[in-house]
Amino acid sequence: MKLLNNDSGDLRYGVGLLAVHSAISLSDAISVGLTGDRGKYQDHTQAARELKRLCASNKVSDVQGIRHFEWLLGRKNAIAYEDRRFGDDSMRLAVEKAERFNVWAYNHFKEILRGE
Amino acid sequence: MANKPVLSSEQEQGRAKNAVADLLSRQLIVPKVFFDAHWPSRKSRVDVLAVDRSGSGEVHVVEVKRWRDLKVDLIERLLEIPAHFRYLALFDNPKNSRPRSDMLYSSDGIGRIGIIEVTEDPLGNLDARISVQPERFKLDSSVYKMVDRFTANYPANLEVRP
Repeated sequence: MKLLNNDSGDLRYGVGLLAVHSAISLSDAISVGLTGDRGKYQDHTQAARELKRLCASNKVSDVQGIRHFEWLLGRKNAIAYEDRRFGDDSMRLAVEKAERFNVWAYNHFKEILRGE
Repeated sequence: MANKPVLSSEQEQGRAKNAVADLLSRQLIVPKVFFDAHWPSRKSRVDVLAVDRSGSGEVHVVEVKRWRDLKVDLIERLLEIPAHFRYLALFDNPKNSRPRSDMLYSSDGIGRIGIIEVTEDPLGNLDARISVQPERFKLDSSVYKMVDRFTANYPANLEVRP
């Protein structure tokens, strides 16, 4: 995602989807690490709600990073299925949101994501 | 063509370190990058330290040197520094010289020092690229306790904000 981000052009939809799916995968990894279950959602916005619930039950009070995840989930269908233009600026923003969600996740679920 | 500015040795090395930090930032996942890091202890120092995944992942250390200043003992020291990936970044190296390849390997065979070449184009733009891929060194999980202490004590020079 990051390496492709510099050469956007025709790849921008792919980069956007990689940003969304990398965040979903990270959220799934946290869920598996804490509960042993990845969770099955009809609607991916439920994944953000589930992550907030896991934060509450694990005494993680800073849930600001989840707003980046919600932003990405909110654009998943638009990037994947709709004809609306997804420009270079939107692509860069999606990568930035995914990176910032990564930072939040690694800071708060370090042990889980390290596999300790 | 622009005249090449005369920079001090410290400025030249600083530019090379910056190019290396940029390379690691692109290669790794949201790394925390530190210049002149006191790693692994307060008494020691490495030119660039990067910890992958916002400080929770693998440790990368880089020593940045002019080719003509490279000494064997630097490579030996690099082999002793606790880091999953270790690199030697060479600048001001017009002939693209490299150390003897057998010197780059860990004595147990697990781990090889990577080589980064820092080059400057005619316009003065620096580019850092990996010419010898590093191989992961064997470390036990106690390194993560060291990393956690380090990142708690020192702010990163480059990082993505959450």
